Amino acid sequence: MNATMAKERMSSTRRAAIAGIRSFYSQPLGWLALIITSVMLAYGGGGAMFWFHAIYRGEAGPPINDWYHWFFDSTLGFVALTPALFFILPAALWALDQMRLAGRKVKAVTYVLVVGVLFGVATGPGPLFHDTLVGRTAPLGKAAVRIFGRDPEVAARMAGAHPHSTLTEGFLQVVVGVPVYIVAGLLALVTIRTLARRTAA
Amino acid sequence: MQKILVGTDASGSADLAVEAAARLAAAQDAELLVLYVRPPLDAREVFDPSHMPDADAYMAAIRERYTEVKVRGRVESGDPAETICDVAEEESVDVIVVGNRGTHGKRRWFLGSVPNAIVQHAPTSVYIVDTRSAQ
Repeated sequence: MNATMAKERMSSTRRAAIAGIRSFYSQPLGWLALIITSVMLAYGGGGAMFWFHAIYRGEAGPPINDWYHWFFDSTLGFVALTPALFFILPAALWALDQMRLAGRKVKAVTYVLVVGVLFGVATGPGPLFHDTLVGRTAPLGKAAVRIFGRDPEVAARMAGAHPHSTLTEGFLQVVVGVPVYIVAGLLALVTIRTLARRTAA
Repeated sequence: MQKILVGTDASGSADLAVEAAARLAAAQDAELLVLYVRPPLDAREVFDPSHMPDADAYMAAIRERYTEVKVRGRVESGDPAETICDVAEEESVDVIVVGNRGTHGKRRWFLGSVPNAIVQHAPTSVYIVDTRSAQ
């Protein structure tokens, strides 16, 4: 393949990708899917991951109440990851089209699996960003303590926390996150379908 | 006139264009090629599959409805305007028939106007049918 052909193919792929994304979001259903999926993954999946990192593994963070911490982290995740999800949802549908699967249930399950895997991988650098931006000594972490107040119980728990490697945290984020986000994605799909049916009725 | 292509998305307004194309085909004793263009990525496929148009059933219904015309159906996926122009060229049709309100509101903002794009890029004559009554 020469350079001109490669350039032409890239340009046609880019055009097809833009057309696909525009087509996906040309219906209100596409936007509804984005918002519901993002909320479910960030707050539902994020809640499970918060429990895993902060409580089960005792990774350090700002010493604030666990509920506030979950809400704070999930809101940051919602804001940071919705743009990624904007591309992941149509990309997963494109992947589904390429697989040429038959049957609504098979398609739905495969879609949720693809979204869960892509989103899980996208959250891989999450612990690194978390430690850098909202860690105990980071400006946002300090601001969180000022806003939500210091929780002595959490502070005592964190005092005994062992330091964790960011690489390990990122690896575990993907390994544990993928199944968690698949389940959250499934709940999102059920919710969106229910809302779509009610709107049509 | 030997071959007439009508583009449809199986909507009520597109049906008016199909109706006009069928009348034209009957008057001209021409073949009617009904082209159903699926959007490249349709969110309904996963999130609302019960409202996804069934292309095969739609084509069967069209054939049953216009028995006096020689109807041929074709299903393609892609950008509607681009696909209609490509098929028109490939099939060497004499005229393309489309509705004027296939795309409107927010959808038009995202996808652009299908009839406008067809008029600009069509390899043949274009007959725009007023389908506003179906809105």
